[in-house]
Amino acid sequence: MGGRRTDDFEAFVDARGPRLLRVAWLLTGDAHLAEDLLQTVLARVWPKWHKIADGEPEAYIRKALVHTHASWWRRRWRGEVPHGELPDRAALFDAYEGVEQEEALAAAVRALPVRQRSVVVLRYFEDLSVEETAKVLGCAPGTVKSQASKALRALRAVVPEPVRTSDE
Amino acid sequence: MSDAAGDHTGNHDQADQERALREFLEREVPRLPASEDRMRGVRERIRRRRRRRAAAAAGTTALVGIAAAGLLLPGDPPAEPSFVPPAAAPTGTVFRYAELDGLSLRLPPGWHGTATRKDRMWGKAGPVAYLTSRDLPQPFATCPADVNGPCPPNRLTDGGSVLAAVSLDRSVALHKKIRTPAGFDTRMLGPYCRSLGAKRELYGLFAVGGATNSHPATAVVTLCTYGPATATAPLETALRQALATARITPSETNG
Repeated sequence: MGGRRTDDFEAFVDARGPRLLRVAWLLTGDAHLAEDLLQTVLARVWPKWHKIADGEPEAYIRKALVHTHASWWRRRWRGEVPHGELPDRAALFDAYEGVEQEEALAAAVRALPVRQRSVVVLRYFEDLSVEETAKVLGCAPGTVKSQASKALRALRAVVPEPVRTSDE
Repeated sequence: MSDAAGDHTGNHDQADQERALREFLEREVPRLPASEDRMRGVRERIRRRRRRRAAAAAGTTALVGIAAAGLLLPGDPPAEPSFVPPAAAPTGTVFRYAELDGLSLRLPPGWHGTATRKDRMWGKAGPVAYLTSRDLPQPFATCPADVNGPCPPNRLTDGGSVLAAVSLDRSVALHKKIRTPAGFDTRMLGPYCRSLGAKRELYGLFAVGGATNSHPATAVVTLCTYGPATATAPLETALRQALATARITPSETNG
């Protein structure tokens, strides 16, 4: 890696990496896996950077994140196994304000089927339209709507407070 | 680009839920710190891809390509799925723990390793290796012969500090509990990490190469961290990569 193309790429990663990492976290529900996923995708994107840099590289990478995560899921490399014993959260997280909420969200995300996760990421975190989401996922808009409804129900059940508008 | 209102569902409840979920996600999805190793990790992955492709182009099999990259060496058991393979061109030093059956691994750059001949972890006395992201005091604090508890080498006092205590287990039963991919789970802060002044404790099982299926080797790792998860995540990743290089090398000398 060298030259201006590298500088552009690294500047992009520096600028947009934090947001893309959040997308990856929402897909994986795990900080380590999120970083792995992002680095994997960036490494795959780099050879094509000269083609996509002038377009919408973030959208391209976002799509790659979703599809790479789905492929990991299919290969069962997601490393998400039921925990036989749950940690004592009160003892664990006393010192870390907000970590408990983050853990709850991570658990809720991991409980979602991969397609629903993707829809949550694209529709509700990246704020894409139904049609745009369907295009990224390669499915019908109706599928996006149904998956979004299921995901909303699931998240409401697992993390009830955030979707109570009365609290907003 | 939101089109919740434009979906014409006529369901205001769902629109409210969607709005609230958006706000919730924006608020709660963690803003993880930028990994200092990110570009390095990307470069390593690019190099590995190139090497694999070059090996394939040269008429060799992909397996040879992987072996050349240091992921699978001749004589290794079949590779276990590993989410984070060891770095193809690691810059850290190889540290060998003679006390732990010659367990060797490549430390992340800047990390330190040491071992005690006897320690008590999990209620069973035995040698323990330590890996830490910060300097260890020299000489290394030694455990008394009749140690009846953990033998902390140091205290974690800054936000980026982590210390891993590694013991070796040769039971088949525990080896079967290694998850795929291997990694850490958070668990309740125990006396060991607490004695170091840690604020968080993680636990993980990692397969060790160079062992046989009938007599496998499992690295049992307790990771004590001082800072919040977001601050130590890159160090945890580096440690996982280091543990992926763990091998039993009984005939070698300390590296």
